[in-house]
Amino acid sequence: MSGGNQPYRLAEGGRIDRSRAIAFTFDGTEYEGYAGDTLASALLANGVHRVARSFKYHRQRGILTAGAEEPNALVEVWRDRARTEPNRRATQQELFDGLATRSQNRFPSLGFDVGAWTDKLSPLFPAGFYYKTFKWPSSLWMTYERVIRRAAGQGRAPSRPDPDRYEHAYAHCDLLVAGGGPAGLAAALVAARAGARVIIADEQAEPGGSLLSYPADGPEIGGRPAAVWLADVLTELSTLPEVRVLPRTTVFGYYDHNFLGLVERVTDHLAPPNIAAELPRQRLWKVRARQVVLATGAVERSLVFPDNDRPGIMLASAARTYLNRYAVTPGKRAVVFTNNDSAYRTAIGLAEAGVDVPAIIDLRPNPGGGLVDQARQLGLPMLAGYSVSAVSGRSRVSGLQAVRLSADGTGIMPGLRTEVTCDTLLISGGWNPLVSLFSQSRGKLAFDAAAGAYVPGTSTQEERSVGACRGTVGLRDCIAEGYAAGAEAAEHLGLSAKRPPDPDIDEPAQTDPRLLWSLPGKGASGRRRAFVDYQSDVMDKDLKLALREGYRSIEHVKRYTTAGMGVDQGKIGNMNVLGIVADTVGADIPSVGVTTFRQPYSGIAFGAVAGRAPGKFLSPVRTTPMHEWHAAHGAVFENVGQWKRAWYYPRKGETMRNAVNREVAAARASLGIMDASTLGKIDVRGPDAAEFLNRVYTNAWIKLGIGRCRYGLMLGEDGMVMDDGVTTRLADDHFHMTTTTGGAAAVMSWLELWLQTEWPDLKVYLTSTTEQWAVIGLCGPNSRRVMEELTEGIDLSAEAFPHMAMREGRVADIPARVFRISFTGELSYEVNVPAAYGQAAWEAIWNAGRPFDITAYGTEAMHVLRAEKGFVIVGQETDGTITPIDLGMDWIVSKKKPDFIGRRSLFRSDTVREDRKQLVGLLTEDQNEVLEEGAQIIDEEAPPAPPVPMIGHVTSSYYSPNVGRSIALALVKRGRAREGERVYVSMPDRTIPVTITRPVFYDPEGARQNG
Amino acid sequence: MVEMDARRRSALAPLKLAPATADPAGVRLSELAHLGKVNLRFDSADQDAVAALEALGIQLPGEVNGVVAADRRVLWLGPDEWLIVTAPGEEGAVLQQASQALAGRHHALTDLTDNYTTIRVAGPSAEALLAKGCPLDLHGSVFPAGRVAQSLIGAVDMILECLVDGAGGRMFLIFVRRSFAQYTWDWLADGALEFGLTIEV
Repeated sequence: MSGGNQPYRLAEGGRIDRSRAIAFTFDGTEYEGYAGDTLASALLANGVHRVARSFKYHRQRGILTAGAEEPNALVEVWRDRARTEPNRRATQQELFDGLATRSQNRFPSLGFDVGAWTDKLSPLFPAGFYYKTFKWPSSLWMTYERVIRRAAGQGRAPSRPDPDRYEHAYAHCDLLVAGGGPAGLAAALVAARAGARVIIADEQAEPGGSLLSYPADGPEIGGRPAAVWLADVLTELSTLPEVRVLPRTTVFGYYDHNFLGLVERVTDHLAPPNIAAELPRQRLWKVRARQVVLATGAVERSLVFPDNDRPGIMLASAARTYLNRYAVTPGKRAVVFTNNDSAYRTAIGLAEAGVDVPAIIDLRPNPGGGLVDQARQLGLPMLAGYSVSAVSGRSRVSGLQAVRLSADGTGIMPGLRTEVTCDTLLISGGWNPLVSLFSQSRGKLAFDAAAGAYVPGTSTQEERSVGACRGTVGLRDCIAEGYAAGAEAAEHLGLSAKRPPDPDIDEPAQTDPRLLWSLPGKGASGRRRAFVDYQSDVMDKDLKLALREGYRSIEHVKRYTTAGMGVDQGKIGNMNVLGIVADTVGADIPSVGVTTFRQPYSGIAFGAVAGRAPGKFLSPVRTTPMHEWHAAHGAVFENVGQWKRAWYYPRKGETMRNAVNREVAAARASLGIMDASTLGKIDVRGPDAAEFLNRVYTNAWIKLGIGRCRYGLMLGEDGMVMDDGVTTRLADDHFHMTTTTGGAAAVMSWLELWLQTEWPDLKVYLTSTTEQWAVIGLCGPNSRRVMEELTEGIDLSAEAFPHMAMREGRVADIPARVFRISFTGELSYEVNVPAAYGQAAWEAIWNAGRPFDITAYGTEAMHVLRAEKGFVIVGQETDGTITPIDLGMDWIVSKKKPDFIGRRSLFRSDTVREDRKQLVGLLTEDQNEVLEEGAQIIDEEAPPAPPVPMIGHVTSSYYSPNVGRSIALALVKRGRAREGERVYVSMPDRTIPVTITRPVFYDPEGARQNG
Repeated sequence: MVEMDARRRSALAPLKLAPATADPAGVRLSELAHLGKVNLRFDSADQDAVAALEALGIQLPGEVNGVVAADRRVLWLGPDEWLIVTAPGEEGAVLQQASQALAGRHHALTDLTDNYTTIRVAGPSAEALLAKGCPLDLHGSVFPAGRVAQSLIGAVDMILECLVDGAGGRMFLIFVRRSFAQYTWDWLADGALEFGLTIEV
C-alpha cells in the first residue's frame, strides 16, 4: 500500500491543515495524514478500520469512537525503547511526523493471530473461567499466571528508564471548568467577564467539544456559524488576563474540598526533534478551585446485538466527528442503526457527503421528530421497529441481517428479515452523560428513566454540571446552562456577573429513545457474540451467567465478569450492563445500583504522578558547613536521615575496616576531629525554662549551674526512651539543648506540643538553632594542647573548665561556644561556631593539630568509640520498647521529682517485670569474630526444634582496636543477672558462643574524659 | 555597613555560582548571602515593649503574614514570633539593642543569620516556578509584595517573602535552612530551565 492517496478523505472541509501532509506508520506500513488529524482519523482516511485484537478472545476490532472512551483502538506508540507507550488510544493520539505505532495483543500479526483460537472455543471461556480452572492446585498458580498474563496482556511496557521530564504544578482559581465544549466555554466566559480567575481544561488539541463536529452549514448560534461563535469566544477569553485555557488537559480526579487533579500532555503531540529538552512531557496540575463547573459532555452508548464488534462498526456520533471535523468518511456504504434521533444527523450528513446510506434501522416502530422527518425528506430508506441480528465480515463489515422485532422487543417476528450489503455500520444506543467527576466529588446520581441514564443529582461540593454531562440535549439548552452556571458561580464568589440572553439556535427537538438493553438474534446457535464491554471482552451472556451463579451485587457482577474494568472503565458499556442485569433479575435499574467511579477518569502516566521526584530530587540532601572539606579529603558519606555525614576517610589502599581502626585508635592515642554539626539544637528560653526541662527529661535540672552541661533522656508517655542529648545552662533563664541528629525535628514538635497544649502557663520560648552552629568535635589526649594554641578568653585548665562545662570565647579568632562534653570517653571539646565560620574554624584546628597527627574520624569510628564506653545510641540500642531501666540507666531517672513525661509508665506491671530485656555486653571466644548486628540470641548451642525461644538480640557490634578484640552490645532477657554466663548467637549455619559482660569495655572509671 | 569577615562562607558558596544568562530569562536566581536574621519572640500585647522596639526601627507588622519593609525588615512568623532581617553584619547591633529594650521581659532574641540562607527568585516566571513546589496561592491578589508565609518548596520548609522588584513587579525571597540550600537551589534551577534561567551573582 502506498501512502498519500487517503481514499476516504473528502475533497474539502474539516479542521485539518491540508497544506501540511504528515507521514506515519502503523504496523510498519507507511501512511499519510494531515496536521490536525488523530491517528484514528488518519487511519480511517486511508481506509484502515481494523486496528486491534481483543483482550480475551483475540477478535479483530476496529475504531469504535472518536474520543477518550475508545475501548478497541489501543495502540502502542513507539518513539524509542525508553519511550514506548502502550494502550494509547488511536482516537487521542495526535499525528506528528514520523509517528510510529503498532497494534497490540496479537502474534505474529494483526491479520493472523495465533491467539484467535480462544474465540472459536469461547464457550469454554465464560466469565469466571480463570477463577474456576486455575485455582487448583494452588501451588501451580504462579505458573498459570505467567502464561495467562502473556496471553491476555495489553501492550508492552518500555524496557528502559523513562528519560522524559515530568512536572507538577499547584494552581488556584476561582472557577475550574472541566471541558471546553459549548456549555463549559459559556460558563467560563460569563465568570471570566465578571473578573473571576478561571482555568478551562479541555482534553482535546483544541477547545470546542461538540462544536468541532458540527457541519460547516450546521445550526447557527445567535446568527453566527458555530465555528465563528467558538472562535469569538476563544478570542475573548484570550484577552481576559485571569483566564488560563489548558488544551490537551484531562481533569482526571475530583477530590475533597474542590481539589482536582489535571494532567496536561505538553509535548506528546510533537515530533521528537521539535521537543525542547527542558519542556516536560506532561504536567500534573494540582488545582484548588473555589468553584467548579463540570462540562464533560456525554458519550454515546453502543447497542448489544450479535457481532456488534466487527471492524467497520462505529458509534454514529464518532462517524459525524470524522466526517465534519476531519473530512473523512468511515466507508462507502453505511447503515445507521439507532434507538434515538441523534444518529439521524449522521445518516443525513453522510448522505449529503455522497456516502451511500442503504438503510436507517431504528428500534422504534414509529420514530418521529424533526431529524427523522429530514431523513425521510432526503429519501433515506428506513426500517422502523427493526434490529440487527447478524453482521458478516471478520476483518471488516460486509453486510448485515435486519429483523423485525416483536412488540416487546425481546423476540424476532418470523419472516421479516432483510439482508443489507454495507461496509460500515454506525450505531447509537443513546447517551451516557459523563458523570465520573461528579460522582468522584461524592455527588449523588439520579436516574433519568426516559433517557435510560444516570445524571447528576445532589451536589456535595461547590460544583455545577452543565450541558450534556447533565443529560441536557440540544445546543441551545447547553449554552444557556453554561451561561447560568457561570453567573451563579461568579455570584458565589462575590462577583457581579451578567448573564447573557439564551442564544438563538434553530434545531429540531428530539424524541425519546427506545431502551432495549440486549437485542435478540443467534441465541439458539451458541454462536452469539454480543458484547457489552468491548475492552474486557464481556458479553451479555456472561452477565447472565454471573447472575445465574448467584452474584447479585452489581459490584460482584462487575468483578466476576470484569465488565467495566478495562482502562476505559466501561464508559460506553456500563449503562448497558446495568440495563441487562436489571432486566435479567426483573428489577428496575436504580435498584441495581451503580458501580463506583474512581480516579483517574482516564489513565495517566506513572511519570506524571512521579514528577521530578525520581533521581536526584527524590528527597532533600542536607549537608553540613564543612561538607566540602570532607569531600575533598576523601570521605565516604553515610545517609543519616536526609543528612550526608562523613562515615570514614579511607586513605589509599585502605578498606573500611582499616580506615575505621586507624581513626578509632588515633582518637584515643592523640587527636581526632569530627563534624558533629548535624546534632539537633534548640534554644530554650524563659523564666520557666528549668522547670520545663525538669518535666521533659527524667533527671533534675533546677539546680544545674550556669555554664554547666547535663546529659538527659527524654521518654515518651509510654516510658520508653525517645531521645537523648546534652543540655547546657547559658543563663538562669536560658538553655542550649541538643538532640539526636535524626530526632531533632520530632523533638522540637514534641516540646512545642507540650508547651502549647498542656503547659501554656509555662513561660518558655523554643527556637530551633540546629543550623546556626557548626560543631567541631575534638577528641583525644592532645585536644587540650591544640585548644590552648587557638583559644582566647577561656581558661582551659581542668580546674577552671571541667568536664560537662561550657565556656564562651574565641577559637582561631572566631566567636565560639566551647563545650567539654564527650561521646567517646576521652578528653574532648565540642567547638560551636556560627555556621558560616564552620569551614574556617575546622581548617584552623586541622592545621594546628598537624603536629599531633590530627585524624579526621567519621560516624563509624564514633560508633566504635562510644560502644567501647557502652554509651547507647537512641534508635540502635533502643527501638521504642526500651526503658532507661532496661538500659541500666536508673541513675538518670529521678526518684525525687514528682513527675516527668513517661514517669508513670515506668511503674506499669510490664515495665517492672524482671525478665525484660536488659543492656549487656557480649564477648566472643574468637577475639576477631565480629557478631552481626540484629542477630538473635538463644540459650542453647544446638537450637531445639522451632519455635526456638529467643532471649535477645545484638544491637551494636564492632572490632575495637583499643580493646584489641571484638565487642558487642546486646539486649538480653534478665541480662544483668546473667553476667558471666554463656549464651549463643544464632546464625543461619551455626551458633556462636558468647559471654555476657557489663556493657563497658574501656576505661570503666572514666579517668580519661575527666583529665 | 559592617565589614564582612572573609572567612565566612555562605551556604551556596560551594556551588561556585557563576553568572549565567538566558534569553528570554523567565527566572532570575541569586543568593543573598549573610543577610542578618534575628528571631524575636515576645508578647506584643506589651505596648511599652512594642514602642521600645519601634524606637530601634523594629516595627511589627500589624497583620498576620505581614512584613514591615524598612532597614530592619520585620517578617510575621506567628502570633508571638517575628524574623528581623537586616543588611549583612547588622544582626549584632539588633541583638544587642533589642535585648536591652526587652530586658526584664519574657522574650527570646536568637541569632539565626547562619541558620538560613536567602535565595531570590525574580523574573516573569518566578511565580510559575514556585508553583511547582509551593501549595500556597501565590497570585498577586492573594500574595502581594509585603507578605510572608511559611510553606514548602518541593520537600523543603521555607519562609517565603514577596517584595516589589525594580520593574514594579513582584519577586520572592526564599529563606531556607542552610543544610537544604544546595538541594533547594538545584531544584529551583532545574525547574526554571523551561522558562529560561539567568543566575545573578
